[in-house]
Amino acid sequence: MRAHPIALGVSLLAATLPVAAHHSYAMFDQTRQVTVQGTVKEVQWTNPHCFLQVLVSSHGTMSEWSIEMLSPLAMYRAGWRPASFQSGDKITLVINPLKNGGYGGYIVSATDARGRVLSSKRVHP
Amino acid sequence: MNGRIGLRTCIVVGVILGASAPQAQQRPAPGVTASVPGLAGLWETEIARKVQTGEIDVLSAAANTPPPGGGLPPGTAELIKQNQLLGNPPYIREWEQKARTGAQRTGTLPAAHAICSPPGFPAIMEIPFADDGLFEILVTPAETLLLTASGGVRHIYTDGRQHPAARDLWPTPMGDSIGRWEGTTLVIDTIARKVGPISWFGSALPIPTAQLSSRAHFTEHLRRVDFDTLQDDMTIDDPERFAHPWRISIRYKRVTDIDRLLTVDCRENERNPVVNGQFTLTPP
Repeated sequence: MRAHPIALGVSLLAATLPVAAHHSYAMFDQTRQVTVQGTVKEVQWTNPHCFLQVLVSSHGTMSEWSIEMLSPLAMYRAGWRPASFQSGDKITLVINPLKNGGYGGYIVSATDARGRVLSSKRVHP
Repeated sequence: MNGRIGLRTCIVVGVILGASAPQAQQRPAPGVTASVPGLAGLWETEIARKVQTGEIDVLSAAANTPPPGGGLPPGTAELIKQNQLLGNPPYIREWEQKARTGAQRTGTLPAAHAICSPPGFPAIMEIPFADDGLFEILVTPAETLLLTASGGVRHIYTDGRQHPAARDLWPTPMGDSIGRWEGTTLVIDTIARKVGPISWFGSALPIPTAQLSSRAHFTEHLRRVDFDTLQDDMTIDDPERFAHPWRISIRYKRVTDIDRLLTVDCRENERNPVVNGQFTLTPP
């Protein structure tokens, strides 16, 4: 039985696929989900990724978190719109945090003050 | 006088156009019949659809955890297994050995903007995930075009032309494609493809893909198998490297959650530079 060349090649790697995006998500800890509450500072509805910049208060200290999402095209297909969240909105986020402990992560879901939930996964494929 | 002639001319032209317009509208587009709606529209690969529905799990932690003995994370392995462009070509013995040797290199992560550059052929047929896995097909009598979100355009000329003469032809990432309609099936002939990874995954990750020569010859039968599904049956022949032609199929599902193709430009707000071989997130 001959070995598959691809299997030989990638067996050396801990490769994760860049799904619906332009890079791997290895920088995010996909084994953990963290809840972050704050106020939207800015929505970057941009390519190759959208970002939510969120101000988070903790123990009297304010920090700015960068929440990475998919592309505008992918987020639109998941039900998001550029104005789904706006500056000043209260927001509760569930994220896969950065492995390096920085103020950031990859979005799992976002909930606004009225309880409306949006995720980065398409509801209707 | 000139004004009267102009007005009369306009009226005559208008009457002619008015009389001929309904006839032009009744002529069906290429590949369209009363029961087959043709190829035009927005499509995504069946693999991309399976990722979204979770039938192929590449998002969970388990899917991204390599097995204890080493090797591919299961999600990646499943995606590669279902992507026929990442299959094992029927190399002649010499090239099987070379491909295996080439496969053992680890490579390095390419810059993010390079990953979402417009794909070449045949990578465009697997629709890179950087393009959100979808493309638009536009059918005209003279040519059929495949358009991707990253700006990739594949021209398939159906006006009866032949490939350019050898002196006018050189290898390009997309190759040279001509097509003809056999009923509702678009039969495509492609030559002069520039040597390089045939799969987008070979550009996005340091994994090897089939290695073809610039003499590779592609024949495709692209057709709508049902209202929601397209299928591209592709035969790749490489007289320098294959023992026999390599046949693969790629399926596409009709996109219903968006009605237009949006542009993806990875230079707009790039916040994921590669540092020390790892993607990072740039703080504000």
